[in-house]
Amino acid sequence: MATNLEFIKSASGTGVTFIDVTDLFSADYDVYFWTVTKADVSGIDNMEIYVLDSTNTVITDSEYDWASLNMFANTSFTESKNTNRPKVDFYGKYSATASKNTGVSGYIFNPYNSSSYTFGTIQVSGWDDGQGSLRGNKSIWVHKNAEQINGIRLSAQGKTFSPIEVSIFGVK
Amino acid sequence: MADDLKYGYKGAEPTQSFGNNTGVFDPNDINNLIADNKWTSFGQLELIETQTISSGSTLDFTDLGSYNVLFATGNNIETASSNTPVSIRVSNDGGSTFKANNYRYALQSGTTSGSFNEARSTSTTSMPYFTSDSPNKNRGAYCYMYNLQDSARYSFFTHQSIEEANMMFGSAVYAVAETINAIRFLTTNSNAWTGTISLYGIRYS
Repeated sequence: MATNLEFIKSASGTGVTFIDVTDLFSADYDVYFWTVTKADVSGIDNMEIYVLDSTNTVITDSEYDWASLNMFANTSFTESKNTNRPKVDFYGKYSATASKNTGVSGYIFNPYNSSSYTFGTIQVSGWDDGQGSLRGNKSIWVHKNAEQINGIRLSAQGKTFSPIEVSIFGVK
Repeated sequence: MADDLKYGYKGAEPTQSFGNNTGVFDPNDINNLIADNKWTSFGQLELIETQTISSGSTLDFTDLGSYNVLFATGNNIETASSNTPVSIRVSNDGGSTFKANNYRYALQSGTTSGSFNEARSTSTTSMPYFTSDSPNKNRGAYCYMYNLQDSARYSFFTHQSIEEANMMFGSAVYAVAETINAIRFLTTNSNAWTGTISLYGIRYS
């Protein structure tokens, strides 16, 4: 069986505090790959992700668990984690400087399957303005309610993106 | 083809985009739409080149295509020397020279025996661990590379590798905003290595 990435859609926004990628998932794929191709942010803040339900409405119920390893080039690593949250609060940090943003990619598993939780993995290579150095993150997350998921929302704790661009692929 | 008959249409031409091509297409139309990222062609992990090294210490890729995100895989990578990881350096002059400073990295390693360690540096001469560094052990690896061809942004890397009972994953940056147009896989101590590297571009990234 040939294996490949099949482009589904890209989305972009400028002057927005979040971007929704709607009608993204389908019965055609079980696994999806996504990558942020550009993200310039009005200030330093956390990378966040939500999922959208079958009507493309953002889910903010306390149904997300996540964990992330913070890997710094200049100091000891730390762990971040939380459970029963209304979003995936954190999987990396944006820099306030455009040239220092950023490499983000991830996989999403089983989103369209109404009988399964939706799981994700994310890897980030970026710049931590507070540390003044490289910050990497390796993260896992789950939306722990079995329902059909149609899309994702990316945000940064209310900071403004100018712009943000994301591309999503099905994995065949 | 006359300008008034494009995609088989007379007069107003239909708007073309990925997943929404309309009309009758001749080869020139298809080539032009591919160049404009408007032609529907499923399969967006595009192989740029596969190279195998059987002697020496460097393997260069001087054609990176035109992609925001590159993906490299390594398999059957081995070296007989200790302390010899395969690393990555970047070039801004098409591969005539390769940069040997301004890299930073942070990675986590782990073994099946239960030993986990972190490694990091704010000043290295390469993206230092595409693979780990033990002698005579078969290694596999992958690496995503971001923004290399964006003159206004740093070049970022995320990677993961396996070496028998050892694994590592991490992130790295070449912290200079400039256009990168070639990459080198190498051992920075010039010890010989063998293996196969495939470089892919992720179209529409």
